[in-house]
Amino acid sequence: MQTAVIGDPANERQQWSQLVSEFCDQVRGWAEEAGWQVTRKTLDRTEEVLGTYEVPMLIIQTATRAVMVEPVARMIMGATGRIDVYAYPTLFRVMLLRSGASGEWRIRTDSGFFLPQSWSKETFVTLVGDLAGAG
Amino acid sequence: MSYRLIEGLKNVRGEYEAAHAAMAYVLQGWARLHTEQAMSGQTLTALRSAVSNLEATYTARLFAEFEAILRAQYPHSRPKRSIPRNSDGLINGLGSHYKVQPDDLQKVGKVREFRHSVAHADPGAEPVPFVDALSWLCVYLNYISDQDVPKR
Repeated sequence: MQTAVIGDPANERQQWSQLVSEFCDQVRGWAEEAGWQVTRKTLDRTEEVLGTYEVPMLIIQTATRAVMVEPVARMIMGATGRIDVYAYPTLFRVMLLRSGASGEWRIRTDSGFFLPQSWSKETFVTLVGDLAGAG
Repeated sequence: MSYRLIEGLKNVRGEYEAAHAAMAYVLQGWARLHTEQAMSGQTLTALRSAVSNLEATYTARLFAEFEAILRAQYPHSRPKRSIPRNSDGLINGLGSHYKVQPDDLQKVGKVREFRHSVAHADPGAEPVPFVDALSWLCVYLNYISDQDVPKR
């Protein structure tokens, strides 16, 4: 079986943790501007290639439900990182998949379709509203 | 919120999605992949059948995981009661203890009936999509107070 090729695992872990941390800072700002209360927590993640490391996650409390922003993994098929955004406790979700070439986040629904919208504050606010209100 | 209990069901979703992606890939690339050593002895008919039954199979697997979570949780939530033998007793016992809303109980009942129909090849029950089953079972688990969930 072929394994994913990366550089130094420690360096890769550090870069991914930093990227996720900056992502969470930006999203936290968007959520607070939308009037939602945000809690930041720390998660332990273990990946075969990278080992164990810490990343932040966000719990966004909307008027209806909580929505989680949860980093899943750096080593992902077809992408260079994945962060899930999902309602709690229904687990209705979209995946954010980081494009290797551009570093942009693509939005994949649970039906397997990619949304045409690019990742932005407006997209985020709409998604959180939709996920929290579903079900 | 019983976030720790829900993690077990999230893991089943991860397995289902990985299995679905792998099977869809093989089905799509059958003409190219059927000569691979790992595929020897398999038929396209069986592969198609496996793909079409995958969601129901994993919905049943999801319910089995849910039932195991309830069984492990029961003595912590109701220490003076004996653990019910069947899933119905577990669901209703914890449901009454945590005052689960009738609508939420009914949805869990639908998943249980569907799981039963899959396990016993009885087509009577209404099919429940995996994503709905996951959502309904997690909503039920969310009634269980985190204080009652033992630390691992």
